This record gives sequence, C-alpha cells and structure tokens, in this order.
Amino acid sequence: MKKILLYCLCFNIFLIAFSQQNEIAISGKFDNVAFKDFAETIEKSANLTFYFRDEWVKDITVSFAGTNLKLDNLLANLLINKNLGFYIENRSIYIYPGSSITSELPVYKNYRQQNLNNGNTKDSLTNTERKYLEGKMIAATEVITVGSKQKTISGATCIVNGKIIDETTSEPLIGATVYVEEIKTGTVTDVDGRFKLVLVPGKYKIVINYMSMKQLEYYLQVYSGGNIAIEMKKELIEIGEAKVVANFYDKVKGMQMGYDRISAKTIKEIPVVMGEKDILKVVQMLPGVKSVGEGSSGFNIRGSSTDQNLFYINKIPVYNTSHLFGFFSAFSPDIINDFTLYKSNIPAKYGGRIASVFDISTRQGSKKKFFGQGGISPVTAHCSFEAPVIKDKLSLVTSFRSSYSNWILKKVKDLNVKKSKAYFYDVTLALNANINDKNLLKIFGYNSSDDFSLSTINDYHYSNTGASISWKHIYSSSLTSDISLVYSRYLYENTDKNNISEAFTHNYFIDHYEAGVNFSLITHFNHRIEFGTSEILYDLNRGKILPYGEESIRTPVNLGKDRGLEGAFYVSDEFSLFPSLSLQGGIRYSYFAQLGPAVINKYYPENIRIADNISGEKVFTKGQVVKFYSGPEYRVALNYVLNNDNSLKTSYNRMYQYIYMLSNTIAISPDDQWKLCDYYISPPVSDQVSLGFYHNFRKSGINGSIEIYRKWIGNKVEYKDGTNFTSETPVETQVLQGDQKIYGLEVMFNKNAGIISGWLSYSYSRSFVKVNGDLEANRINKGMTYPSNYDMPHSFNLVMNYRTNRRLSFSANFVYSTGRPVTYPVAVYYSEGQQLVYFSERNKYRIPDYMRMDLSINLEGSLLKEKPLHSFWMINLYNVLGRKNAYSVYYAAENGIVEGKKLSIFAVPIFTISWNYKFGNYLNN
Amino acid sequence: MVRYMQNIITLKKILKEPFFYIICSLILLIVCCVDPFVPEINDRSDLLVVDGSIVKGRGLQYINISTSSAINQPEYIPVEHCTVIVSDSSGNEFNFFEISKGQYVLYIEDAQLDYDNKYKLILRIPGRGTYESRYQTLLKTPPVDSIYGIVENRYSDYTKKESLRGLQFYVDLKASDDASRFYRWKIEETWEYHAEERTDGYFDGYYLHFFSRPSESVFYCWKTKDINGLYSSSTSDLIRNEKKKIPLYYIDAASNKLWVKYCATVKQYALNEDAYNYWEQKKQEINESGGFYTTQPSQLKSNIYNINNPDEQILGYFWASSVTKKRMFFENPFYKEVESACSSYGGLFIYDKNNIQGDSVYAYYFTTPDQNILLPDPPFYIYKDHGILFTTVPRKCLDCTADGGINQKPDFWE
Repeated sequence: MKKILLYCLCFNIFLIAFSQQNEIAISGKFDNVAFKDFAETIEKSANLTFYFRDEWVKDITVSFAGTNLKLDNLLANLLINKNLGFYIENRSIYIYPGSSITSELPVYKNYRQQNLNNGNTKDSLTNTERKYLEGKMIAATEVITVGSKQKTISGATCIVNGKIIDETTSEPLIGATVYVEEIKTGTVTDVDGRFKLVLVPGKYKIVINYMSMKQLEYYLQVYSGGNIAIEMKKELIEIGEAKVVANFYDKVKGMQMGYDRISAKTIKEIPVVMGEKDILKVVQMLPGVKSVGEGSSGFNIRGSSTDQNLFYINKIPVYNTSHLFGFFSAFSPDIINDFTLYKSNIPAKYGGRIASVFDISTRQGSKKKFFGQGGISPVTAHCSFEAPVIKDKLSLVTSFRSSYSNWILKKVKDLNVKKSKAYFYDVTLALNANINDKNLLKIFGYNSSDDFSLSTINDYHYSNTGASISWKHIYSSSLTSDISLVYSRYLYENTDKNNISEAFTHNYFIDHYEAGVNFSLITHFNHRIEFGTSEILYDLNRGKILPYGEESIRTPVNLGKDRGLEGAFYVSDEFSLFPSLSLQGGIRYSYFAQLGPAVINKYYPENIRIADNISGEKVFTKGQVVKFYSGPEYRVALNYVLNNDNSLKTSYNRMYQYIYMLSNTIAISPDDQWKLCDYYISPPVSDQVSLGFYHNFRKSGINGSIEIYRKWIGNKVEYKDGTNFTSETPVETQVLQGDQKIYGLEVMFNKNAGIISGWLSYSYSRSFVKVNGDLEANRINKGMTYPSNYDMPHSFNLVMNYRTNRRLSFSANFVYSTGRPVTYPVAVYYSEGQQLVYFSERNKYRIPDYMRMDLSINLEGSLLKEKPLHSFWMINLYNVLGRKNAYSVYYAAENGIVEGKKLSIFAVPIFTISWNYKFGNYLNN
Repeated sequence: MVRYMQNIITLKKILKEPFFYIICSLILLIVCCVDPFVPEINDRSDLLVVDGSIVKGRGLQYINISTSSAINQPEYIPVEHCTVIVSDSSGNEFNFFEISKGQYVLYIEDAQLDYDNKYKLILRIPGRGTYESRYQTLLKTPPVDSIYGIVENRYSDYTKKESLRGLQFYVDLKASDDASRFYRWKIEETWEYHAEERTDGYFDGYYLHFFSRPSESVFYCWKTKDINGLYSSSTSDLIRNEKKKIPLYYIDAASNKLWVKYCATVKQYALNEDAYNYWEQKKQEINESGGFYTTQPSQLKSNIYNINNPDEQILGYFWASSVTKKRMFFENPFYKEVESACSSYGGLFIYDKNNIQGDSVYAYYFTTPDQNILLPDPPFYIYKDHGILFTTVPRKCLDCTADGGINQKPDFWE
C-alpha cells in the first residue's frame, strides 16, 4: 500500500514540478545484482530514496563498475528497455511504468485518453487504484501532456502546435482563442484551425474559447515540442450560459489593433434590408467603416477612399464586391465562415492597398457529415451544400445564389421598367484535402456575375471570376509553409444606346495573376517569424469604345492596356521583450514595374500636363520596364499588457498602393475603372500611427477599446473637374496627386455572448485633402485643404441581439452618423433666361445627419433532433423610424427655376420575411 | 404600392438617372423619395454676372450685367451705368447703350459681323473696374437639319396617372466636317389654342351685353414663349459631323399647347469648344446633380476676367456665333386627349326694374356646387346655350387672352 500511495504522489509531483537540475553521481561495483538490491545499496550509500513496485523491476539486473557515474544516465540505460521511466527530485527517485510516455506522441487529448493509449499503465493498475485515480482526475482540470521528458531541455523554449476542431463536423475552428494564463499570452487559430504556442517546458493552464462552443480549460504539461488536437463541443443546451468569455482575451492580449473578426452567426443575426444577409452591411456597423450612402458599394475605412481596400475571399482578390451596383454584396452568406478586417497595423504579409484588408474565409466543409442550407428572400434564392468526398480526408463545399427578380419588373406597368432586366448570381466551389498530417491542399473557385439592362437604353454586365490553390506544408512543429497560386479577373461591359448616333459598347477587364509563398517559423525564445514573397502580374485592358448598331458613327477609341508587375518580400517577427511587453515588427519591401508595350506622352512644359501641351511620345517595347517604383513598408506594433484586463498598444504602419480607381463620382459607379500606376502617376503611400487602450470588464463580459490614429497619405489621386474617363484624353491630364490628412478616434464596447450580445461603437474621424501644385493648373479648390467626400466626423452604431429562448431571438441596430460633405450652390444668377447656380468651395457644407433603426426577429423551427429539415424565419423591419434620411441634397432646375431637393432611399419602414433552411447537421451555424 | 410607384416615377422624371430608377423599380418595396428641401446656406456673394453674346443673324445684340444673389433668396440685381464695348480683332468697336437697368443693347447689321472674325467684350463697371473677355471666334452655323417630335409615354404631374402620351422633340444635326463640332440650341415655341366656347356677350357688373352673333375675338389665341433649359450637344466623339435624335424637350398631352396647332422654332448656334464646355457643364449642374453617381461639381472659369485682378470670380460666358433657324408645325396631335379643366355654370340674372336704365342687373346666381369655386369678378364673358346663360371658370376658358396669349395671328402662322 505504501508504494501505491507514493506512486500517486509521484505522479502528482511529476505533473506539477520538474526540470530541476539533478546531478547525482554514484560510484561502486555491481555484478548481476537485482535492481531491488541495487536500489537499497544506493539508498544507504548516497542518502537517496527509490520509489517503485517490485513487480516492475523484478527482471532487471544491474551490472556495472565505475566512479562518479551519473545516476540519471545509469538509470536511463537500465530502465529504457524495460518500458519504465523515472524521475529524480531532490534525493528521491521515482520509477514509473510506461515507456510510451517517453516517445513523442502526436496527440495527447487528456489524461484519460493518455491512459487509454497507454495500455501498460492501465494494466498495471489495480481496479482500486484506477478508481482512485480517475475519481481524482474528474474533479480536476484535465491535463494534456506534450512532448517527452527525455527531450526536455531545461529552460529552452519549445513549440506546441495545436489544432482546434469541431467535435461533430471535424471542421477546423477559425479564430478560436487560446489563452495561457501563466504567461498572460493568447493566440488565435488560423484558417486551418491551427495555433502555435511557444513555451518554456512546464505546466500551464490554457483556456480555449470559440463562439457558441463550450469553453475548455486544460492544464498543459509541456516537456518538449509536440502537437495537440482539441475538439470543441457545441454548446447546445445551456443557452445563455457562461459563453461570455468567448474571444474574451483576444483584444487585450493580441497584437492586433484596429482589427475585427465577425463570424457567420453574427452576420446572420443582424437586421438587413430586403432580408438579404449581407456581410458588407455588417461591416458598416463597425467603427471606422463608412459608406457614402445607402445602396452604394464600397467603404471608406478610417477616412480613406474606397479604392484603398483589398477584399480577399480565400486569397482571391475581388475587384467589385457588389451586386446590383451596391445594393447587395457579391458574397453569398451561406458560404462565409467569417471575415477579418485589418485597418490599423496590417501584418507584413498583406500589402497593396493603403487603408485596409478584408479577408473573407469560407466554410471548410465537414469531412464527416453531409450538410446543406439555403433560403429564399424577396430578391434571391440561395443554397449551399457540403459533403465529405473521402471521409476525414476530402471535403467539398459549394454554394449558389441567384436573383429571381425579373418577374417583379414584368409586373410594373411602366413600359421602361417592363422592358428592363436585372439578374445576378454568385457561385463558389471549394475542395479541402488533408493529404496527410503534413500536407493540406485547398482549391477554391469563385464567380459572381451581374446583368442589367435598362429598357432599351443601357446594358451592363460585370463579373468577378477567380480561383486559388493553396498548399500548406508542415515541415516540423516550428516551420510551416503556405504556397498559393491565385487568378482573378474582373470584367465589365457596357452598351450605351442613349443616342443612336453615338451608341457604343465598351468592355474592360483586369487580370490578376498571383503567386506567393509564406513561411511561418516559431523559434525558441518565443519568436514568431513570418517571411515570404508574393508576385502579382496585372494585365489590365482599359478596353475599346466601339460603335454599336448600324447607325452609330461613334469614333472608335482604344483606351489602352496596362501591364504591371507588383511584388514584395517581407519578414516579420512577433515576440515578447518582457513578459508584459510584446513586439511585432516587420518590413515589407514592395516594388512595382510598369511594363511595356506602352506609348508615353511627353509634355512641354513638363509640369502642365494638359492635352494641348503634348509635345511628343516615348515608345516602349513589350516587356520593357517603363517605370519602376519601390520602397520599404515598415510595420511595427507594441503591446504592453498592464494586467489581465488592461493593455496599451501602439503601432506604426507604412503601405504603398500600385493600383487605383479612376472615379470622379461620390459613390463607386459601375463605370469606374481600375488603373495601374504608371509613368506619370506615382503610387499612393500611407503612414499610420495608432495608439489604443483595451480593457475587459470581467464581470459583465464586455470588452472595451479606445484607439486613436493619424494617417498621412501622399500621392492621393484626385480628379480634375469635368473628367471623362471614356474619352481618348490621357489619364495623366485628368488627375492630380495631393496629400490627405486623416485622424480619428474609435471607441468600441463588445459583448460576444450571453442572452444579450452585440456591440456599441463610436468613431470620430476627419479626412482632408489638399492638392496644391506649384502652378494653378495643378491645384484643386485653389490649392486649399478641403474635406474629402467621406469626411463624416461622428458616427455611432449599436448592434444588439437578445435571445429569449432557443427558438426566438430579437435583434436591433441603431445607426447615426454626421452627414457627408457636399458642395452646395451658394449663389444664384440669371443668364439667358435661365437661373444658374454658383458652387461653394469644395465640400464646404454637409447633408443632414443620418439616423436609422432596424429590427429583426429570428424564429427557429422545431428543435427536434430527428427531422428532415430544420427551417427558420427571419423577419426584418428596416428603418423602423421611417426617417427620410438624405442620400443627397441638390439643386435642380424646373421651368427655369432652380430648387433645392432632398433624395432619400428606403424612406419608410421596409418589412421583409425570408425563409431559410438547413439539413444534414443542424448544429452548424 | 401606387404611392411607391409614383415616387419612383417622379424620381425618374427628375433625376433621369437610369441605375437609380431601375433599382427602385426592381425592388418595389424600396421607397425613394424626392422632397423639396432648403439647406441652410449662409454664404452671401455678389459676384459679377455677365450674360452676353454676339450673334450674327440676330440683329439686336444684348449684354446683361447683374450680380449674383444668395441661393435661398434669388433675385435679379442689375448693374447700371456700365460701359459695354464689343471689339473685333481688326479693331472695330461696337458701343452698347443701356436700354433698361442693367440691359445693354446695340443693333448690329449682319454685314458688320464677319465669320471667323474674333470678338471680345470690354466692360467698364463703376466701382468695380475694367473687365475683358478672351476672344471668341464667330463661327458659321450650318442650317438646322431637321426637327421632329416622337410620341412617348411618360408620367404626368397633371393626371397623376402612371403615364400619359406626349411629344418628345428632337433635333438632328448635319454639318460639313470643317464646321464646328459643338452646338447649342434655343427654342421658341408658339401655339394656337382655343377657348371652350364662342362668347355671346359679357357681364360688366351692372349690365349684360350681347353681341349680334357669337364672337371669336377671344376664342382664337396664339402664345409665344422661350423654352427654358439649356440644350447643347457635340459631335466630337463621332466620325462624321452629324448626330441624330438629339433630345430637346417634352410636352405631354395635358398641356393645351398640343391641342390645336403647335410650332417649334429651333435656333442653332455653332460654338467654340471652350464655350461649349462651359454651357455643357451648366446644363449638368442644373439637370443631373443629386443622383446616384453624382460627380463633384466643377468650377469652370468664365472667359471674362478683371484686368487688374485676374483672381476675381466672374459668372457667365461671353460667346460669339451665328444663328440658323428652322420652324416646324404640328397639327392638333393630342386634341382634347385630356379632360378639360374648365367648368361651365349656368347663371340666373335678376334685373332691377326700378333702375333708371331699366335693365341693369340687380343680382345674379350661378349653379356652383362648391363654395370653393370662385366665380370671376365682373366683367366676364358669357355664352348662351338653349337660352340659358353660362359662364365658365377659370376665366381663360371663355377668354383665351386671359391665359396670356394674343388674339392676333403671328405673321409666320401657316
């Protein structure tokens, strides 16, 4: 009995403390001595105590002779082949069975699992012992053991690779948080559900959270580097239970500032117009994200223009993110798993746009079970399916959404509407293959398309098509690589039949070919290093304007082609300088080459680029570098953790952008074209500094943050008055480049779980532009600073979800923002019998403030487990207050008199019902 | 739903914004509203406004000088006592004289204005200084190719019906390649219209007067008016210097303009490119702002400047051209397609027998069913039908001159 107790004791000590230096040397001579006798001899001579069970050592005989032999070497030699391990603490030597502990196990789920894996241990225990042990362990937090004791290098760091998956579907959980209490550090799982921890061998308590999943707590016993897999369970029954800690540690402990991640579940619950769940409408509820008006596509992130955002869907860049010119987003809600928005310190692996990166990741697909979902709203029908192709190896996810609104147009009596058509769809297909433990392959394809014709006057077609292949390879627990190949095309076609003599068609497209490799390395001393490169080849054809119809005498115009190569090398490192101070530093060296063939106009005088001053041209042949730009982009962030609930962060970011949008409209219009930087247009560059304070209100489960930022943007592309980008006029004669000055403050309170969840945000943001060339021709607004079109100082958003029970939840939005700047006419005058107006300085006035409240009710169908289909209803009431928010205020003439008018969209409460269903696995969101 | 549709259609009419309109229609539940709105604008300005041109073929040339007024209190503020001179590049000067406040005129014989000669405006304005315009070339305007109307259905404010027939007027342009590629049009419309009934007499308040036979003196009228709005177009994007179906203006069947006989007189002017750009931009400013894809209003500068202070902002553009005209008649395209807004009321006149003259009216009554219908104050015309005396409201229904027309047939009327 005595020894059994000691064994238990031994085990507990073994769990709690280890890695002390044990340099015990012995001397003597033994010849075929039984281990038990050997031990007794040593105990007497060296004042040591051995603990073991006789039956474990009965076969061991000891034979050696020598002086000053290291006891641990000796014991290792003696015991290793006998399936025994040992542990030395002070003057005690504990021997225990189970050599499998000593080899590195890929997965230790918990203590019980470890026991199951370890038959020897189990067999060697009596029933009473097992009962005793298990009884104890159930009450305690489970322990995951990583690595082997033999491999322990005292004091050196080792890397623990983890993967968090959904227990029911085996899908990786993206964005789950893993927090290590002892070192006050957390991490978030990546798109493959993987995370890495760099730890000194020892014992840690880790807390794992994921939205709608049960929080997990484990003790992590780390000996050396190793892998763990953790399965999380859906929290099904205990709704409203302590989910409040989901993502709890993230904001305080993580390195990212100006960072938001929203899951599919949130997207689902937020009230929307027309019953279309829309990711981009949810984005607009976040602080620092604004759009110029309802039904307009594009965002202004922290006072930047709409072309400064990069949208990725599974690594495919999307050049037009909207359907129907902005009323809906081009991403089907069924396929979206979550999205991440970086707007402050953007990781070095991202680049190419100076304001933000939107990274949308799609569902990974269950490798175990079939699942399908879909729905019908007044405008579209949509569905998605996911199925394991090879169980546990290969999954397939596909989605399709299409509008069916043409029938509505046919009902309208107006002839022009009757003759009109509007149709859009989007489709995705994803394959995810776990080739083996070391290799992961993902293939993704995306297509969205819009067709629109207005009576017999205009036809529009535009589409995004893209494909990506991504291969992730794990070299070792510390090094992984991700190689990707991406193709994306945005195509736009327009036929204008307004006037038969000048009817024309125009099509333009941009092809984007990208290859990239990203390495992620975690070294000892807790360095998380990422390095890699990416190369993009742009093939942009601005298209031709060609006459349309027999009577058209339109002069054909070739707007020309752009070719460019954009590339970057980057390296970044994240590590702790001190336990409470972490540093993320990176440098991205990016470059851009405009490639021939090209014909560049020469101007005289050189500094006044107007059509009249063209003095000649320079011709570049195919492949010749016309112009080369390059520069380093610095990315630095510091996080100072004051304590568990408070942290201070600061960051500095530099970004270059080599592509911009030709647009002189306030909202993004379908006619807007992308254009590469070229001989005359230098790449815009942005420097941003931010400072933030983050706090957890532990009791209420709310986390709060306050961030201030300042941005300096150089080479901002602005448009001269009266520009026309479908004419032969060279672009460089129509644009000017200036400086943009932006600053602001963002406050956010966020509660992710509980009966009531949601967020409240306030932002103050200012954005000013100045285009002050040396000559009058190169100035806008006489060279004076003016507010940008999207300078909306105050904005306030509230998103709230109230879950009464498992079948019924209510959501509400409240949105307020200052009206956008507008150039009003300030004077009226008479000329030729007509009242005419004279405009103020650019953007001197503002349209009235915007305010809106929406409600929605989500009603889940029966919660029976066995049923063919689970359905739920979503009832939306948009603009409950019926406020006539101004989309624009303008003056227009009628019968020679100019009058002020206000245009409002969605000016009365709009009621919609949409029906959604899912089958296969009802636990999916 | 009907209300939504009206909103949508109103919107379409005002905005002429295809995307917006179609999207609103597409999603019937979306409500787009256009409401009158007066933003608070405190800027005051009294910028100099010069409204002037030299047009060969016009005879009487006029230059109007005024200052601008605040947007929310529009008023015409003439500038008096200016010296106004137009000079050409060969040194000839034409001195204008002030005919009324701020209006300066001069009759210039066509022979005195030469094609391809350059003209500029010189102004001396008391208290402001001396202003000059840049030279404008007087271009030869090709003849108007053709003007025509096409019947189209549109929403009408008048009927509040979803759509009503109307005439959209177009002009075709055809010019030789050496002619200007930039044009403006101004339209003068003349229409004949009729009163509801021929009158049999009138009531002056005391007496009823009867004509010997029904009078047509206030039955036939003609009215002439300038069409408001700016019309311009260019062929700079086209291979040949011609363009078909350039839209002008629209009149629906509810207007009495198209009931009997209508005449459009289109005046065509060839412009210099800079002047065209200016007017084209003004056209956009007052027609196409506020829609979905609004562009930033631009501030093209005038070609008139203060010679001592070139930074002074001047409004208006001095241009030179020649004019060609074309007339087109349209015979009763929409005769009484819309129910008349006139109502006739039978009347009872009570004579005052005690009156010295013996037949003055003591009292009169009409069968107005509604207190809100105001009978015209005497004198008013009356007509007889089956012995009963009627009058018609509004007044213009019996007296076409009350609608602003004249009862003299214009000389060009066919």
